[in-house]
Amino acid sequence: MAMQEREPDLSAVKERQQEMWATGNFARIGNNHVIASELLCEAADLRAGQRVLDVATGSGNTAIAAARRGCEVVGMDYVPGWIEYARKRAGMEHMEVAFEVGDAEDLPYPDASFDVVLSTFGVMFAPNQEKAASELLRVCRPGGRIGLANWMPDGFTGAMFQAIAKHVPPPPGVKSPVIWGVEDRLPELFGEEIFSLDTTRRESCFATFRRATSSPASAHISAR
Amino acid sequence: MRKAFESFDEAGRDELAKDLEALLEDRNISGDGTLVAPSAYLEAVASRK
Ligand SMILES: C[S@@+](CC[C@H](N)C(=O)[O-])C[C@H]1O[C@@H](n2cnc3c(N)ncnc32)[C@H](O)[C@@H]1O
Repeated sequence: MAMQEREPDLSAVKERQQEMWATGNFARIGNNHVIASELLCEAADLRAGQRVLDVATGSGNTAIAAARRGCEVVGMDYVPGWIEYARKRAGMEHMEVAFEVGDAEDLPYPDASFDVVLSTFGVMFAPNQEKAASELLRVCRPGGRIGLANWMPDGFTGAMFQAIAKHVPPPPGVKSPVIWGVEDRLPELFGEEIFSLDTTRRESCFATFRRATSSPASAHISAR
Repeated sequence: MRKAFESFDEAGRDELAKDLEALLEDRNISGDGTLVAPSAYLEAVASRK
């Protein structure tokens, strides 16, 4: 219908995505990219005792990297299975991280409640990008930092998402997640609310078995 | 991803599989039977006003 075309039903999009993320292999997804979490924590210059939020934490990679640096961390994701898994994982390392269920577009935290807000390959998937960005800003205290790792459109993973979108087009009006990986997009999303933005192009490698089958990709990738 | 596959008919599935296979072929730098695909990402740190 014409109406719907102009205003995509973002909650339906989000629901379908949530189902998709919930089918992932909890132990495996994100495993190739732990390095990005560690590097982001260094880039964000975390200090012991800081309050850190990891948005769309998945298996807890970034939350756990922040906890390794003595931060007081909350990891949040909208898939309860991930939260359970992340909790177990942090427990194994005897780290106290609060893992909670929540939506990146509607963060269940008061304004200015964190010193640092992080997200690795997470917040970029929220269908309402402007809302998600404004939520990152809202919960970050003045003078605090926001640290992100986002797939770039021309990288392997970015290209993979685009290939999928070509065959399963998102509803009109829903922007591609990988534009979070385009440098110019971030000032657009954060507007006047930030006073500096440092960006670095990095690479993280998918290294895994390659199955000689007609299946589209390795087990790791099909788990995504 | 599996969901993406399930949501299509067979023809669509083959098409997507073909595209992804081509992408893997194109990006794989392993030089052996395994997969090594460098994936570029943007690391960004912003300071909030
Ligand atoms: C590619 S995984 C990345 C996980 C983790 N940050 C990491 O670096 O390993 C994407 C994650 O985003 C979560 N996610 C996507 N959209 C979300 C939303 N709107 N709210 C909360 N979590 C979301 C998914 O459930 C999934 O765990």
